[in-house]
Amino acid sequence: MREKVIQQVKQTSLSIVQNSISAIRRKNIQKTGCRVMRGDKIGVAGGLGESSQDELYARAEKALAWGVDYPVTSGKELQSHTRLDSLKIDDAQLGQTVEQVLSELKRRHQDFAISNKVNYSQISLSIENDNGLSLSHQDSYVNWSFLLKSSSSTGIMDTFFGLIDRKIEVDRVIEATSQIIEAYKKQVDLPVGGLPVILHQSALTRLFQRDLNGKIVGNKASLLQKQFEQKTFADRFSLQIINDPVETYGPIFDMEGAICAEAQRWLIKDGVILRPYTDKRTAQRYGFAHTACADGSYDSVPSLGGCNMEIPHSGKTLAELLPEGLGIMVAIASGGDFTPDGNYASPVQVAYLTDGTRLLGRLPELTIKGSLFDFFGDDFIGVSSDKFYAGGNDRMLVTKLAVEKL
Amino acid sequence: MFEFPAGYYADVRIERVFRSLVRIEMGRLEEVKEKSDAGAFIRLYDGRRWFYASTTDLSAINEELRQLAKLASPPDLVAICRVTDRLEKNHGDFRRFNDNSVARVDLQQKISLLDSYAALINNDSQITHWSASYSDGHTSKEFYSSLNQSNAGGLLFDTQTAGLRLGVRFGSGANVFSETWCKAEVEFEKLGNLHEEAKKYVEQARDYYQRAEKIEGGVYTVILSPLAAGIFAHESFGHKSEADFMIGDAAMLKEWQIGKRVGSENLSIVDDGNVAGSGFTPFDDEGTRACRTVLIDRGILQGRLHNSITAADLDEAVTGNARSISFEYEPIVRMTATYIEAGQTTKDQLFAGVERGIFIDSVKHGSGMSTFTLAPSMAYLIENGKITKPVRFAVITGNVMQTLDHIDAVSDELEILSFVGGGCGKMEQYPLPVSFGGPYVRVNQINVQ
Repeated sequence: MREKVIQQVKQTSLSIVQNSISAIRRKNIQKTGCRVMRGDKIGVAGGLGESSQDELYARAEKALAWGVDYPVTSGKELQSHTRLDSLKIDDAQLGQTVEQVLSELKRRHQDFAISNKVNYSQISLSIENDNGLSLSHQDSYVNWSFLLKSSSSTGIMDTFFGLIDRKIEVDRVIEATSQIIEAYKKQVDLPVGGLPVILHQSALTRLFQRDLNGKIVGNKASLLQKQFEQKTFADRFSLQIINDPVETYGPIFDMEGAICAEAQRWLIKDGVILRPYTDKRTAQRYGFAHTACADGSYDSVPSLGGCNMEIPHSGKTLAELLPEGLGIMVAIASGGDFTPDGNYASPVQVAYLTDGTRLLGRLPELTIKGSLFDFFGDDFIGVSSDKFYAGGNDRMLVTKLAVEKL
Repeated sequence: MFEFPAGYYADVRIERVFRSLVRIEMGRLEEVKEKSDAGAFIRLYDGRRWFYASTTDLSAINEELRQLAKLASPPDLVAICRVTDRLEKNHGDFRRFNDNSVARVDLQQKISLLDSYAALINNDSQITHWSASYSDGHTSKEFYSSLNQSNAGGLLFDTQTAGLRLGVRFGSGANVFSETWCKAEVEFEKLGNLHEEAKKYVEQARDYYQRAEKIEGGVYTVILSPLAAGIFAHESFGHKSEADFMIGDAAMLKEWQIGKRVGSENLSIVDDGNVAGSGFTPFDDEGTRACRTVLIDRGILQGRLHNSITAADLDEAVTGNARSISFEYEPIVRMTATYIEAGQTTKDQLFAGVERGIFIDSVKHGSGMSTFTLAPSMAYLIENGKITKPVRFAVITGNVMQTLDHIDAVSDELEILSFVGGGCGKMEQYPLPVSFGGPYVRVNQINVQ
């Protein structure tokens, strides 16, 4: 059985230094991977550019001799084609748009400098095989990444604005960046009485990447090993695999060409841990449900890495999730980590006070601490139904953590 | 050879990369990969902006140069020279790994080598999950520029690493512990006899798993191992030495004036691309020869890291630190091998000076802006100058500049470490191979969380 993976990235990248475009980079690179599966073995080979597929398949065939185990059934007759690549902009238009944004921000905030990148990417990924599998994903989007620095600051950066979007909304980018700069300039004290903490989900769900990994669970090495099928977290806490290309900016299928079945997408439901996430090899090896989370590059043996997971939203807006009407929005928390037993601690370099709709001011540097079993347990408040544009247009996680001034 | 558009500065970097990877997990061969790729990165400068293209079609480089020139404004020769006058015009063949390239080593030999290390951790009842990997890479670069057209052969140089990683996880439930042993060299042959070192490390991890106790947070004197000291130097100060953060920024230039005291007299930090290992960068991606750049000399700011753009902006010399992660990216200012220099105190004397403190032996990760953090993997309590027991906590953290000032002694032996399977990240470019290290470093008033 032969299978082919083609990945294409066409990108225009604008470098920004001190509010001006300093460089323009263009690339258009195709990467092709070929897999040959025979018996319970797999061989892979890959190449850049206009690679000869016959040559790649010949190399993959030869690689079968190394004996890499792959005792799984390959994808059959599944067809899915997603096209989200409606955003089209040429290099000149992109340059003019970014200059317009930078010019307006410079006019408004002469005491702040913007640097880093704006990238416009057109990407595609396809997987096809001899059994009729035919999957493709095409997308195009702009990635705004602004490092924001006060002219009087002596740090590398003070704060940032980051956003991936399939639309170019110049005014929203300007307003969101302005809001961040204005909030950064307005220092406020940490209010007394424990306010809820607002974070991007991945800051706290990353422990699940490790401890709900099917290989870790299959080898009985997970922190959560004894809690499967038990209520471990709050009733209102659930965690699901997410593969919606609109939300993830990635394909609906995994690198084995599989799509997670609706019935298997819940990893944690109503506080009860249901299953680990898996690829085909892991599911078969340990007898778990297959959740279609195979990872890997175009020329790798597909294997279990991480997966896209999300806590579903609560149906309440961010403002509605803040019982006192205020919360601590964590913008930069670099260097935090979990202990093996699930305790999390992190310095917070930049945090804002927010009412759920606006950033009200910059809080002092903080530390945040908590236990996995608390911040997704009794202290869990919810995930917002609305997206916070100044926070990267994401739905935000709200929970209680111990907060102290650094 | 290349048709550089008249009046502009332009250069071409061609990269030919060989890589192989072998991965074993829980006794099963999970991946074997061997590949060779080539690509080119092309730059053109009109004095106002840079124009870049990357391509895998090496026959299309002249066409790419023409296309970039079409995007550019008419050349501003004064502005161009302001940048290019600083560039070195090196040429010649400086490749040193062709004869012992990892591409010449049979893949079966690599699998057998990894098998011999995997045997150290296979069938161990306390290790609940493990993986072992071998990876290598040999990158040959050719560099041609419009400044050096009389030397049609260009500049040829190469880098190489080969390394091993053993990842082990002990225990289950709430009592789990993961650790990774990693070793990298510039030649395959040097990986053949490290089994005792690997075994000893796994046993240390087992002991840590079995005996580590939680410790109360608070302020401690901390001794950093060479690994922890290297990560601290890289994350907390090295990135601040990268001059692209200073372009057109008066406040930064004032704060980071050469000659200013930025740390204690015990602290000297160096970046040097000549050091063999994963940070080895004999020439950078602008063709500049590696040099030893003293960043801090006994607490005094002595230098910073440059590419041609930042060197022109700050009116300083290039330092050989223009690096990119691959032919798909432009060179930006990056570190190479960054380390704290050794001092005069013996390791024993360093520990003897601590009544109650923490020794950080291995580290999961670190970061550093105004505040730095190190997340320890294996850490130990020091009591009355002796290591007494393994301890657990999440991170150490502190203000970077205060911490640099709180370094009160460094030991007399320098160790620079190399790695595979990761590297340094900056903006969109990750991972870049670097190395780092230092002696044992004693720091007061560190916040343990």
